[in-house]
Amino acid sequence: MTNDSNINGEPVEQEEAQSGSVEAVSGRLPPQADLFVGLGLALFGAFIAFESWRMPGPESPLVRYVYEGPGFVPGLLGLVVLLFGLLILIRSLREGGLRLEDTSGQITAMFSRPEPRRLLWLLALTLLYAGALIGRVHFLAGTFIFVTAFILVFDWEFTPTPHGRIRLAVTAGVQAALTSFVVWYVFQNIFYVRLP
Amino acid sequence: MRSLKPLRATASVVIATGLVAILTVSCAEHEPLDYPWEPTRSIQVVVPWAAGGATDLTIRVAASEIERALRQSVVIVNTPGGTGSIGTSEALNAPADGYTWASGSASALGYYPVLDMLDTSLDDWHLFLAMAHVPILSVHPDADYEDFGDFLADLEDRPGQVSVATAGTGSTGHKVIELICQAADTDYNHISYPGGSPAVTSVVQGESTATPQLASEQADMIRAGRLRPLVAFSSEPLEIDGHEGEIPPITDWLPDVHIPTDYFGIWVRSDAPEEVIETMQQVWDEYIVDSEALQNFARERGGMMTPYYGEEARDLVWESVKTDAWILYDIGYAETSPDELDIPRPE
Amino acid sequence: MYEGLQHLAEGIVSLATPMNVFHIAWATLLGICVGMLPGLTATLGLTLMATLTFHMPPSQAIMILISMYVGAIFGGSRSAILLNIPGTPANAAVALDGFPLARQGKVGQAMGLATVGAVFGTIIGTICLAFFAPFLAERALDFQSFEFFWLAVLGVVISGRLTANQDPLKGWIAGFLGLIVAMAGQDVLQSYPRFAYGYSDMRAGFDLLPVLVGVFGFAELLSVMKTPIYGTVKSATDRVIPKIRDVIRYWKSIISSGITGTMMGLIPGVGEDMGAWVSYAGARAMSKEKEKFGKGSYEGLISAQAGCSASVPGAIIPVLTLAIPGSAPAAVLLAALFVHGVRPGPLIMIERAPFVYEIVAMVLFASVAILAFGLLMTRPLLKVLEVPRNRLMPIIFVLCVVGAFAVNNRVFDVWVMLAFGVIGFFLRELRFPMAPLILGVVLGPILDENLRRGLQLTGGELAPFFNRPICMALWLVIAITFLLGTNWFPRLLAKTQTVIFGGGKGDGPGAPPKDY
Repeated sequence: MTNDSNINGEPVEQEEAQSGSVEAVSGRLPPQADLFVGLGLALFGAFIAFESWRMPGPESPLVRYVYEGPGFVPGLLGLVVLLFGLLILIRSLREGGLRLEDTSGQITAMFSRPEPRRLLWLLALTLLYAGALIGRVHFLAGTFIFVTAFILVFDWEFTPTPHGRIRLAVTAGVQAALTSFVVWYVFQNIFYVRLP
Repeated sequence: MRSLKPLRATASVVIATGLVAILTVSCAEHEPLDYPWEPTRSIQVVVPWAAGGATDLTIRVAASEIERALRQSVVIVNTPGGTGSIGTSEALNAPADGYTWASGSASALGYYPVLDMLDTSLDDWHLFLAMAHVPILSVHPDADYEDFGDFLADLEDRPGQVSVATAGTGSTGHKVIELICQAADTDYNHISYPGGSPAVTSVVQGESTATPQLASEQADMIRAGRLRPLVAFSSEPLEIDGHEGEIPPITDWLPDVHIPTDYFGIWVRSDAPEEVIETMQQVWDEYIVDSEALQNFARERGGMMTPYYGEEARDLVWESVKTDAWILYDIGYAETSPDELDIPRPE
Repeated sequence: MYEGLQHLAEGIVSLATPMNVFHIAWATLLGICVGMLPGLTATLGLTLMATLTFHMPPSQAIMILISMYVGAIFGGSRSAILLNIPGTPANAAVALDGFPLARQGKVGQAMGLATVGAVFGTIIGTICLAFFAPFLAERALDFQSFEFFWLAVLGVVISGRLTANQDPLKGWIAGFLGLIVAMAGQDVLQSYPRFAYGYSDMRAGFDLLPVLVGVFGFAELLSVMKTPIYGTVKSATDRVIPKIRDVIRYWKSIISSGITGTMMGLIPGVGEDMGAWVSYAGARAMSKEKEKFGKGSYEGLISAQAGCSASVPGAIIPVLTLAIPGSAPAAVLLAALFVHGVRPGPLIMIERAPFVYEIVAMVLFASVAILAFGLLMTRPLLKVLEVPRNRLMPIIFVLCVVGAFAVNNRVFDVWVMLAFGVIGFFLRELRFPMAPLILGVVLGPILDENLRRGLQLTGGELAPFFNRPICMALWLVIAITFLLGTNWFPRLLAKTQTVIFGGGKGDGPGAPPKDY
C-alpha cells in the first residue's frame, strides 16, 4: 500500500519538501536553460508588439489618438516582455550560458528518472480525456474510462501481486463509476449544467 | 482490510459531496397545467450579458414569473461577450425545441448583421417584450447645470471638451449622446467604461461630467443623492421611486430628436414548435401583463412595462432597429451600410 | 457608525439560520481539507468552488466561498505542523516553529495553538474589515483612472517581487505575461477583438476562471503527480485544547500579528504568504524569547498563523471597496462577486451596505467554525491526509474539466484550461511563479482601460499620472520595488545605511521564504 506510516518520526525532509512543491520553485535554472527562456520571451514580446502595431490606429473612425487605439497597451506590454527577455538572455550569457560542457548532466537531472515517464502518462491521459473524449463521447462514459485508466496507470507498479492487481482494477472501476455518476448527477440535476 | 481504506475514504468524500449538493436544493412539485405545451425539463434562457446588469436583472424577474406559470425551472445562463452576440448565437444554434431561449435588448437582433457580428434578423425570432429601460442623463449633484438646457449650452460652448461616460462604443449611452450631438450639431469627449455601472460611478467620483446610461443603472445613486438626473430620453416624464419630482423628457428641449427605446425581453426561435409559442402568448397574457414583480421592478429602477408580443412587438422594435443601425453606421462603428440589409434610414 | 453596527447585527441574525450554518460548516470543513492536502491550494479550492457554485443564489455562493477561503488558509497549518509541508503556500511560516514542535511530540499543542492563532487573527482582521471598509469605500472615490492604473501596476510588480524572491525578474515577467493574456478578446473602448484572428470564441477573450483552473488546478496536478513520493503521517497524541495561560501570555504578539497580517492583506499583490512572514518576523523582533524562534516557539507559531489568517479579511477589504484583489484567492473571490452580480467598488457602501456587513458576519461565522473543527476534530481531520493521491487526483481533474465548462457552458473553456495548465506547468518548471501571472490576468483590463481612459480625460497629458498625491505615492513605491530588484541598488542602499545609521537593521520584514 502506498500510504505507509513512517513511525520513527524522522521523515525524509528533503524529499517531502519537493513533493509539496506548491509554489516551491527554489533556486535558479542553469544559465543554459535560461538562454532559451530569454530568447523565447524576447521573441514572444516582439510578436505581441508587432501584432499590436497592426491593430487599428488613428486612421480608423473610432480611434482619435494613438493612445486610444486597442493596440496601445498590448504594444507597450509586448515591448516590456521583449526587454525582460533580453535581460534574461544577457544575464544567462554573462553567467556562461553558451558553455556546453556541463549541460547534459544538468538537463537530465532536471527531468530525472521516473518523472518524464509519469509526466507523459499524465499528459496523455488528461489531454485525451479533456481534449478528445469530452464533447464527443457521453460524459459518463468518458469520465469512467479516464478515472479507471488514471488509477490503473499510477497504482499498477505499486501493486505487484496478481491478486492485488485484480482488486485494484475492481476498486478503480467502482471509484470511477461513482465519481462519474455523482458529478454528472449533481451538475445535470442540481446545478442545471448540461454537460457535453 | 487496510487496502480498502483509501477507497473507503475517497468514496466517502465523493458521497458526502453529492449529499451536500442534493440537500441544497428543494424539489418543485409537478401538477397538470392547462397549456398546449408542458415542458418536461428545465428551460434555459441565455442572457448575453454579465449577471447584475440591466438585462440580467430584468430577465431574472420575468423568468421567475414564467417559472411560476409553467411550474418548470427557467435557468438563466449568462454568456457575456461580443456586445451580446456570443450568447445570442448560442441560442440561435441550439435545437429549436423550445427549451433554449435568447434574451436581451431587442434592437440588437436587428443590428448584429450591420456590425458583422451575427447573421440574424427580427424574422428569426418571436419577440416577447417585458420592459423598456429609459436612458437618462445625470450629472454630479454639485455640477453647475440648472437643467438640461445649461448642459446643452455647455456642449455647444466647448465642443469636444465635456466628458461623457458611457458603457463603451455601441452601447445605449453612446448612441444616445451621439444622437444628441447630431441634433445639436456639436461634439463631446467620449469616455468609455466597461459597463453601465462603472460609467455611473465615474460621474459620482467626478471623473467625468455626465452619463447618459439607463435609468435602471443610475437609480441607486439617484436615490442616494449622489447623482442629479437632468433629462429622460423618452417622450414622457419619468419617475423613480425614492426620487423627488419627475425627470423632464428630452422633448422639452429637443422636440425633434427621436431616441430609440431599448426593449428588453425574451426571444424564442421562430421555428420552435407552434404549441411553445401559443403557451408563451398565454403566459404573457396571464402572468406578465399585470405582473406585480415586474411593476415593482419598473418603479424602482425607472423602467416602463411593455408586455407586448407578436406583430405589435415587432413593429415597436423595428423603429428602434432603424435608428440604432443608422447611428452605429454614422459613428463609424458599423462597417456594413444598413441600406444593404434593407434597413431604411428613419425619417 | 451606529448604522454600521445595526447592519452587522442584522447580518449576523440573517446568517444564523440552520441552513446557512450547515453551509458554512461544510464549506469550512472542505476548505480545511483542501488547505491541508499538499497540492490542493486555497486558490484551487476556491476556483473549483466558484465554478461549482455558479448556479447557486448569490449570497449562498459567496458565503460558501468565504468559508472555504478562511478554512483553507487555516487548514494548511495542519500539514505544515505535521509534515513540514505547508498545505497551501500561505502556511510556510507556520512550519518554521510548528514542525519542530511536532518533532518534540507536541503535535496536539501545536495544532491547538495554531487554531487559536487563526481564530484570533481572523477576528482581528474582521474587526478591521468592519470598521475600515466603509471608511475606505468613501476614500476609494478618490481613486480615479490615474490611480487605478498605478494600482494595477503595483499589484503585478509587488506580487512579482514577493513570490520570486531569488529571481524577481521572473516574477515580473510572469506578471506581464498575465497582463498580456488579459489583452486577448474585445477591448473596452472600441470593442476591437484583439488577437482573435476571426475565431468567434476568442472574441470574448480568456475567462479568468478557466485560466485559473488550468494554472492552479491542472498544472498543480501535473507537478504533484510527476513525482512518486508520498508523505508520512503521524497523529496527535497529546492534548489539543491549549492552555489559556499560553494564549494570554502571547496576547501582544497575537494582536500585533493580526494587525500586521490585515495590513499585508490590504496591499494589492501581497497576500496571505507575506501576512504570515511579516507577522512572524515582527513577532520575533519584539519577542522576549527570540532564541526559541525556529526551534519550536509557541509564540512564533501563533503569530505566523494569526498573521496569515488575518490577511484573509484584510484581502477582502480592497476586493470590496476598490475591486482590486490582494492575492490570488482574493482574485477568485472578486471574480465570483462579479459573476453573482455584486459589483464591488467604491459605491458598494451606497448600493449594498448590508451585504458588506453580511460578508463580515460570514467571516466571523467561518472563524467560529475553524475554532470548533480545529480543536474538536483534530484527529479525525488528519485522516484526510491518508487519502492517496492517485485516487484523489483523477477526481480533481474531472472537477477541473467540469468546472471550466460550467463557467460559460462552452467546450472552448475546457481547451483554455488545458492550454493554460500545460503552459503554467512548464513556466513553473522554468521557475516562474504563478501568483503574479494570475494577478496580471485580473489586473490587465484595469491597467489597459484606465491608462487609455486617463489619457482620454486629459487629452494625452501625462502629468496627472505623476502629480496627483495618491499617484505619487503609488509610483514611488513601484519605482523602489523595481530598484530593490536590481543588483546595484540594494548594495548602494546598504552602504548609505551604514553611513547614516551605522549598521543595518538585520533581517527586516521581507525575511525570505527559504525552502518554499
